[in-house]
This record gives sequence, C-alpha cells and structure tokens, in this order.
Amino acid sequence: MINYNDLVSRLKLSDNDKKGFEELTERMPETDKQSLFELLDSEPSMIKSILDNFRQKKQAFMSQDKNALKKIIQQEKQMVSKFAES
Amino acid sequence: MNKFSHEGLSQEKSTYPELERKLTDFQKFASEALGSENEVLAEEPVLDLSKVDPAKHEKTRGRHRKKTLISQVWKDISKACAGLAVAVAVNSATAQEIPKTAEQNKFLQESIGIKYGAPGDTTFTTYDRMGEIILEKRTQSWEDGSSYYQFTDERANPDKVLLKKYGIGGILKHNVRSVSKETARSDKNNNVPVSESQNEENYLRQIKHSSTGQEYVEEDLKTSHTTNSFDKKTKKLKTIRDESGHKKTIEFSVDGTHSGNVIIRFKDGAVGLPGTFTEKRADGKWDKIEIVKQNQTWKKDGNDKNFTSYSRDEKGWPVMEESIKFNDQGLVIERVNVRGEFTKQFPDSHPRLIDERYTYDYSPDGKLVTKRIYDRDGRLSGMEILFVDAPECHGLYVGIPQEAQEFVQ
Repeated sequence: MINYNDLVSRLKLSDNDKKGFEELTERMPETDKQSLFELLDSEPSMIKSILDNFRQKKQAFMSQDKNALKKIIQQEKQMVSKFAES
Repeated sequence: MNKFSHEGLSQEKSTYPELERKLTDFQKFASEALGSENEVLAEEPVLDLSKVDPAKHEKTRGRHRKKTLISQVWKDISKACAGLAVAVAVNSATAQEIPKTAEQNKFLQESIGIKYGAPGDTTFTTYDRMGEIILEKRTQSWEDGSSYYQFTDERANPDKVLLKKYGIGGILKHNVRSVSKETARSDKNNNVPVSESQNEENYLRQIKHSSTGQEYVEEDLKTSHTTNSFDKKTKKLKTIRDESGHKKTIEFSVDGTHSGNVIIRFKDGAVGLPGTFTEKRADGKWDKIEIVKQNQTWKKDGNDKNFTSYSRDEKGWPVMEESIKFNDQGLVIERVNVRGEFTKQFPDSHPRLIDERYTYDYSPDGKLVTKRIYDRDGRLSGMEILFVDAPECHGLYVGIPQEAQEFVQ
C-alpha cells in the first residue's frame, strides 16, 4: 500500500499541482487511488500528464462537452501507445 | 457501456425537477464518456504469455502491466470528474432552496445593522459599529457542493472582489482570492478557479457549540480528511487521523484544565504533530518550517479565566504563543496570537508580536457570536458572524478589507 503523503513528497509538486492532485484523489475510491499511486510510484514523470488530463477532463465533464472529451480520450490512446514503444 | 449512477438521486428527483432534468442529461453524457474510456481499455489486448519469449517474459509483462494501469487510471479520472460534475448539478439545483431563518435576519439587522439578503441576492451592505467597513456581498454556489461569498471592499478595492469559499454548514474552507469584478461577473459556470495562494490557508475551520453554550471546541483542520475524537470528560483531544487515514494519538496535558471549555487549535504540526507548518511572516510572506517534534505547555496567570500556551520545537525555538481569555460563563472572549519568525539562524530570538487579536461577543441568547479581528496595530480588520444555534454552526463572514488588500493580484 502506497502512502499518499510519501508519494506527494516524492513527486515534489507545486502548491497548485498539490491542490489538483488532492482534488482528484478526494473523488476516487480507495482501489482506484491505489492504482493511481502504483502508476506514479513507478512512473513519477506521469504526474504532469495525469494532472493535465484531470483538469481538461473536469472542464469537459462540467460543460458536458463531447468534442473536448473525445479529443482527450484520443490523447490518452496516443499516450498509451507511446508508452508501449518506449 | 457503463451505466452511470448516483446514490441518492431518486430522493432528489421528487423535490427538484430541475435537478432531475440536469442529472438525466448528465447521466447520458457520463455513460457515453465512461463507455468511451472502456473502449480504450478494450483496445489493450489480453497478454498471452505462451507466445512471449521467456527471456523477455518479465520485461514484457511489466510493460503490459503498466499499459493496463495507465488505461485504468484514465478511466478512474473520468469517474472522479463525473462525481465532481454531479456534485455541481446537485448543488446548483438545491442552493437556492436553503432559506435563512427570520430570527437570524432579525438579529443581524437589529444588532449590527446588516441588510441581509438571501443567497443569490446581489447586494449586501453592512457596517460595523466600531469601524466603517462597507462591503457588497454575493453568494453563489461552488462546484463541490459548497458556496462562496463575494465581497467587495468599496473603500480600498472597489474594483476587486474577494471570494471566500464555504462548505456545507458554513464551514470556511478556503480563503480564495481577489479577482476583478469583471472576472467574477463573467464566470457563468460559477466555476472560478481556486487561487494558488489559497494554500496559505489550506485548512478548514470548524466551530461547534452546544446549545447550552457550555462546550466550545474550535478546530483548525488541515484537510477535510482529518478527523479527530474528543473526550468531553477529560477535555482532551484523543486521536487525529491524517489524510491517509493513519491514526495519530496526541497526548498533551492542559495544566489547569478549565471547567467548562477547552480550546484546541492546530494546523498540521501545531500541537505536537510532526510535519510541515506554514506560517505567515511579519513581512507578509509565507514561510514553511519543519517541526520534527514539538512541546506545548500551558500556563495560568493566576486568573482561572486566562490561559497562555507556548509552543516550542525540539530545539527549544519558539514557535507560537497563544493567549486566551474567558468570560464568567466560560466562553472565549479574546484570543491573541504571538507568532515567531521561525528563523533557525536565530534560535534565541523571542517570537515577535506580529499578528492577530480576536474578540468574541455573544448575543444575549447565546446563539450567535460576533468575532472581530484586529491587526497588529489594533485596527479592526474584519468581522465574522457565527451562528451557533444549529447542530452545525453556520458561519457568515461579513467583512475583511485587510485581507482583501492582501489578496489583490
């Protein structure tokens, strides 16, 4: 089990990013949180992409913007493929 | 395709038709969105290890695991965003339904001259008998189910609006920021982004008060995840859970425990908790210090009604000093905070008197507290009205021009 505080201190987040990360994890059930923590534990560089994804997606959900969401999901696919090649 | 659902939806439906419509729309949108995320996951082929070269087995499996994990995380983020959006829909449809009691309005109007409006009203003008704070207030809903108040300091910053965020029950969540009136007006979604500087006050303030006025607990909690238990008999804080749910036990004795009241005031690290402690310096900037271990002592001044707490870190450097005065009924009537500059280069320096003094006046029926905030020069800088007649105290912040100046961007 990965500890939230330990992870956050390792990620060296700015205050703003810390706030965003807190907001994201507040909304997640424990199991989802652990998946996220596990990913960040092994790939800390992913934090920027994850926070960007959260911010964009949040905006899309709030405004129920299907096109924006489609675009984000497209980016997600590309990122998974990119990761597979690396 | 995922079926999005929200607990408690059926209850809301009958009461709020507008909410029902919004949520039905949203449900459709969220189902499609989460369904699209599932498609991303579905594109991930199931790994057939029999076809993988044993030499590359571990590496391949590890890579596959990470790919699946990333896809899963994207989906989890979508779910979190969906939850957030539902909270907004619920709040926006119900916020207008919360009336202020006639009694509260009457008291405010008669005793401190406030013209008090319902949430959504555009103007709210008040003045304090001791000063001349003139503010305009607006109340709007926030995306996570809380509300924020807009204040305009008509004298100092007529073009700026100070936003303060409150949670359900009037709990102050964030000192937000000052924005231009234009920005505040153009924010049609009630989705004003939270200021980066809000971390300066990233704690919740929760004030509870019994109906008899005999028990008073004030807690400054760093996050909403922090919980504590409080032993009413011994007047001691027993346990605290941090954001991760880890239990921390605090043991500190209060020398000369007061018969009717206990004040507990802490930010992370303020009362015996190792951690990072954010404090404001005399020059207005914010600093962080790390406290590994901290001791706190309490001292009576010969009068049972007055207490002073002294906090020092493990090396004996002064961290905070707080004086509290009680009235005959055992209620807090004044608090003075003395804060050090926390410069480790000067371990022998005495903390400087750099900030606030608070006074508390109680209404005759004991149901309402007027808190006044003074700056270091003794000038009134803000005022807060605290309703204490409800199980969850409702706090109404009615003016703080000094802060408005500090938060001007």
